[in-house]
Amino acid sequence: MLGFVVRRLLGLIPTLLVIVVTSFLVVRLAPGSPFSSERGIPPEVLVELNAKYGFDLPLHEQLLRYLGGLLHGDLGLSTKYPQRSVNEIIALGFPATLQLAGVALSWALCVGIAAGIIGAVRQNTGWDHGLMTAAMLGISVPSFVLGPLLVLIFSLTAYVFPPGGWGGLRHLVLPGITLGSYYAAYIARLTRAGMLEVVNAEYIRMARAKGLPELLIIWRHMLRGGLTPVVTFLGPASANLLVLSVVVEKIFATPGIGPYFVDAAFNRDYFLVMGIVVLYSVLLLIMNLIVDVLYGLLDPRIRYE
Amino acid sequence: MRSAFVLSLLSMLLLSCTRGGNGYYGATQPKHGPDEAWSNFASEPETIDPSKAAEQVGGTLILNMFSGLTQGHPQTLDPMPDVAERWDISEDGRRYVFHLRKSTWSDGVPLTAADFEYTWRRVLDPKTGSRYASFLFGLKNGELFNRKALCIRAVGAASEAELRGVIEPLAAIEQLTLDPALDAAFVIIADPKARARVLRELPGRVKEMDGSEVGVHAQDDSTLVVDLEVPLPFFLHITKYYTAMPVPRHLLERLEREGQPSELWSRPENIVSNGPYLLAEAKFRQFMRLEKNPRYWDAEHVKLQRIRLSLIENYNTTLNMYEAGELDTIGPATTLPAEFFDVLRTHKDFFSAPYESVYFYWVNHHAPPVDNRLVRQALSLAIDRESLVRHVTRAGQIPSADIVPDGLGGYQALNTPFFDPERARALLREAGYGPEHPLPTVTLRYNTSEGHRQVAEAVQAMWRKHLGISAEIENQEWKVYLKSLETRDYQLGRFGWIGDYPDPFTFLELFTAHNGNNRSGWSSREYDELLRQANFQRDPAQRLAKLREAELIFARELPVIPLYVYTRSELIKPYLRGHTINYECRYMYKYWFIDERWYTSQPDDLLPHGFPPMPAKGGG
Repeated sequence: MLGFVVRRLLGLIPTLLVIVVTSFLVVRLAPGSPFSSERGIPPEVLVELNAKYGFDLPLHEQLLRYLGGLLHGDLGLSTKYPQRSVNEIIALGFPATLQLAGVALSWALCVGIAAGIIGAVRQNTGWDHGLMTAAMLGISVPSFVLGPLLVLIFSLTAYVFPPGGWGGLRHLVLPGITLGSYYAAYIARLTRAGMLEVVNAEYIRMARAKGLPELLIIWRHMLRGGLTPVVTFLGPASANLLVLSVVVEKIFATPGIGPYFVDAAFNRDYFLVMGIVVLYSVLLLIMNLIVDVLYGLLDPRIRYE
Repeated sequence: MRSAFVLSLLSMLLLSCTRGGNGYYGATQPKHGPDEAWSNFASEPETIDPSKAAEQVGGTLILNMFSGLTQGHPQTLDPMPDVAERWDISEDGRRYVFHLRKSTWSDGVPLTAADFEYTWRRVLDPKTGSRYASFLFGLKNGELFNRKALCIRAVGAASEAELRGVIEPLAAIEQLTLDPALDAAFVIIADPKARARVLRELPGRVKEMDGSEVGVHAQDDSTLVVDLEVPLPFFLHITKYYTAMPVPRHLLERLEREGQPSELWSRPENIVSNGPYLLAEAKFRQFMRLEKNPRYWDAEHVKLQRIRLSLIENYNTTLNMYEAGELDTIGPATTLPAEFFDVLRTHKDFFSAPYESVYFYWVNHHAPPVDNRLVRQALSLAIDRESLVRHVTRAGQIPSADIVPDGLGGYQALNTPFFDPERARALLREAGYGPEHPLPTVTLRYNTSEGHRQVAEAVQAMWRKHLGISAEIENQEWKVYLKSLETRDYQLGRFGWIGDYPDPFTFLELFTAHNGNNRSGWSSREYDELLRQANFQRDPAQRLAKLREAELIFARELPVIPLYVYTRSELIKPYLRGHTINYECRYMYKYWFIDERWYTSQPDDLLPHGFPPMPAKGGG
């Protein structure tokens, strides 16, 4: 087991290297300069600016330099915000993205599992149909529609939550719900399906015959079966939550790192683009690893070889 | 594209759902105390270093945190005394002597003329990396210093040819100028390697410029002498621009002594300023809090204790926050899409005013068929600008085929007729194109944006309708687009130019031969000469006449096809008072105050919102 994890971790290094080198070269292929704007820059100023960031060196030298910095955890300087390093920008924005993803995931789990249980226990009743229709909607309605709708209801019609900005849990509610609803819906369907598989199992009938209270049966016996698919879904879901928060962060002006995905590329802020790519690659690779490990833990048929 | 469409549909829905009742858009009572205001910047300022800032929000912040030699009048933006109490201008208009009042930086260190000398040299020093260094190119030897010109001392009676004979064997000379007053010659050599070679081969004789040659000198603590290359009648307007704001030399030098890069001086934890407000708190991409500076020389007239600035990019979110009362204004940098104006216009807290900026299409003068003047004129005359601003842009833009807006610096616009399909067709025929020999397809390019696409599509349709020609429209992402313009890989290309000061020169100089921003490839000796002569005119009326002559050449040759003068649209809560709209959209927080009982005062003294006439005089 430990050997498997170590081997997989070592395997991440070449993958990461390929990602870094490829994206470094692809970013530079895009025409345009980080310093261009409506107004031209005096030629000698441009020379100095290029020299400051090392853009005057041959590309392979720049790449080696970047990789060297990466080894020391140095992601370089931002060209858009000349007094800030990429490390600092990420350190300032990433906590907000994490908090948002955390709230979204909690929302998804609470609502999703509850809805799934009700749907399974009251199968084919009005409850079930109502909840599963809601889940279908949750999956189909994109966040850029849900977000403004929530703002209309909870900020503009009745002022319950602020329509945007940052500064405490109050500001997290609407974006959290917007981001988490798709996952809540998905989890509800997974939970329901998982529980339906076991709802007629013999050991459940046995538990009922024993005279156990229904709630205890659900909690102790049915959920275990029902949650296995949910747990395996959580790995990729968490990774997706982090990546997909881009849209939600834009709608609610959350100061996370999501918008850099697009903005940094538009600004040709080379090192910031790279920093975001590196961060997300590491996150996704590690998430995948965790999921693989979890699969094995939950399903004894899988072996770590 | 589709998501943007759905989003704007939804926003329209939101807009039309607004139930104001009283005619205002959302909350009409402040959610904060009477000693503060909440405004918005649409993005995080790139830097607050005045010497390096190159965008609207950074500039707005700087002008509220720093105090320069002069400041703009809140409505007319005419230069008024600031740190400089008064100034003298020499007969020939080339020497300005500023007399500074006693004032201090926010850390208590006295501010002297030497701070300005240091700052302006720093702006011009290429090592600083100032993208707006060209603002101070008017200073004597300023451009030479920025171009890293080499200086030959003790020239004596040597002629230009003799000096060229010395340098040219070593390096190609871009420009060589003699300065008899300094007994020196300056040589611009574009290639850095060649420049280094000259320095190496001619030691002692040739030196790098050190900035002391630049025309800004502190005579004493309170007197600053500025020498200009040529007279610039609008120079006082330059002294109130954010690039000209002073930087605290003592702080930069202290950081250097402590072994830190001095460019970190303007980070929130280090910054020292001298204007009405201080940066008290800055959360990256969240908000900024400004507190009144008790050491500002005019602090007694600053009314609000605190300004809170949100940093919200999305215009929907900004509008929502404004409606909910979490913002008192949508801020100077939020641009609203055209669809919104029909609804917003009906509210009493909506204001729209002309902005010193012209929307136009560059024409590549080396790309057939638009290299033909007649074709350019035909294309221009076939655009129904009146209909364009009424049905497409919809924010009250002023349709115009002139490059200089009417009234700018007292200038009377040419008022070129801008729509005449009959004549346009005749011009096209004259150029040799007709039904039997149609004009080859022209391509109109724009940077990706919903608004620019709408304009381009309308123009495309007008050309088809009035000239029967087919035009292709093509969008490019901003940086790619800039590259296309720079390499002149285009036929027609959208652009906008924001004037830097209220004078026709700010637009006209764009088309001079050596202007790095001239993307058309067009130039004319006659035009350049008229502009040069204009600034030597003592009489303002004669000067404007020269500039007008130049614009007539422009109107004939059309290096660009102007479409309209921009407007800025703003939402301002009725309780936020003391805010005036000016043609540069400058927000001046020091005049702001909160009036919770605004509804009891007379509407006319509520907000002086009318658009002020452009100032009648060009400069000092």
